[in-house]
Amino acid sequence: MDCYKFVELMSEYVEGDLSPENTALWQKHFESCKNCAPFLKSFESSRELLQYLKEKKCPDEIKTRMESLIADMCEKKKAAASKKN
Amino acid sequence: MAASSQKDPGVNIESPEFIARLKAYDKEAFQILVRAFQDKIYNLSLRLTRNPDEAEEVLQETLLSVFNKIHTFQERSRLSTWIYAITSNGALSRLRKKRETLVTFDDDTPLKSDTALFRNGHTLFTYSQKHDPVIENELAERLEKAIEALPDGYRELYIMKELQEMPIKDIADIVGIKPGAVKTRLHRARLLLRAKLSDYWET
Repeated sequence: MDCYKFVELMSEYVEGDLSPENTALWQKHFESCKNCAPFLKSFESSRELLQYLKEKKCPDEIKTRMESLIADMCEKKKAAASKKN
Repeated sequence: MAASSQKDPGVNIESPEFIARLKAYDKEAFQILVRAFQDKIYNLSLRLTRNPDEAEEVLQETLLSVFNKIHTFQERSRLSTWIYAITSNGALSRLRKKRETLVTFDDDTPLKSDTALFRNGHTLFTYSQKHDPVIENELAERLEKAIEALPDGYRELYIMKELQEMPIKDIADIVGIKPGAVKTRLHRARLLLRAKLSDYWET
């Protein structure tokens, strides 16, 4: 296995999707290549950065609008149902 | 960024009892649902569309769609997964309309021997061991920009999988490609992101 193949299979490795044969070849390359270990570390670290990402909050005025929209829809359903009965 | 579907204590939004209340158009149940999901839906649609007005429209369309289609919801999947699929479909269909030659999700060209993409490096910070709000904010901002700068067709898949934690199969159904192709693109997006953050890695 060369370095490019090693990098190609990196996501499969970190997600545990690598086949047993490829795992053995991957591990062998990892142990013998001085460049690929730091590459893997930076790959994993860039995924770990996701924990610092902040959720984009919905503005309060939109929330109020959405809540009253859905409440109205429920009222209309209820009114339509009681008309039927 | 995992979906928290339970904001009101004592209410399990994924439970059959709660879903039955939604199917009966119970106003209180819908209020709980809207409060639990509106930030998540808005966040996902804003990241996908990169436009606050469109994000609001997608939020409204998603909530109306959930209301109008709740009777068709099959409890084989999670309610949150179903809601995020509706959101993603809405946002992506807007992107498709906007970009005349959109994102072809099927152009899987081989990985180029891009030296920048394969740039090597060591981890520069040991940020995960020490809580430092200044560094964490800086990292968040840098990552935010790096994700926004991912090419069309990669960015969307990355957001759906890595930020929204949607199943690969659902993403494949939404964008209309095979799960294997989603994984390939996702891997390339991760490599691109690693490379874009390369100044955080020592060379």
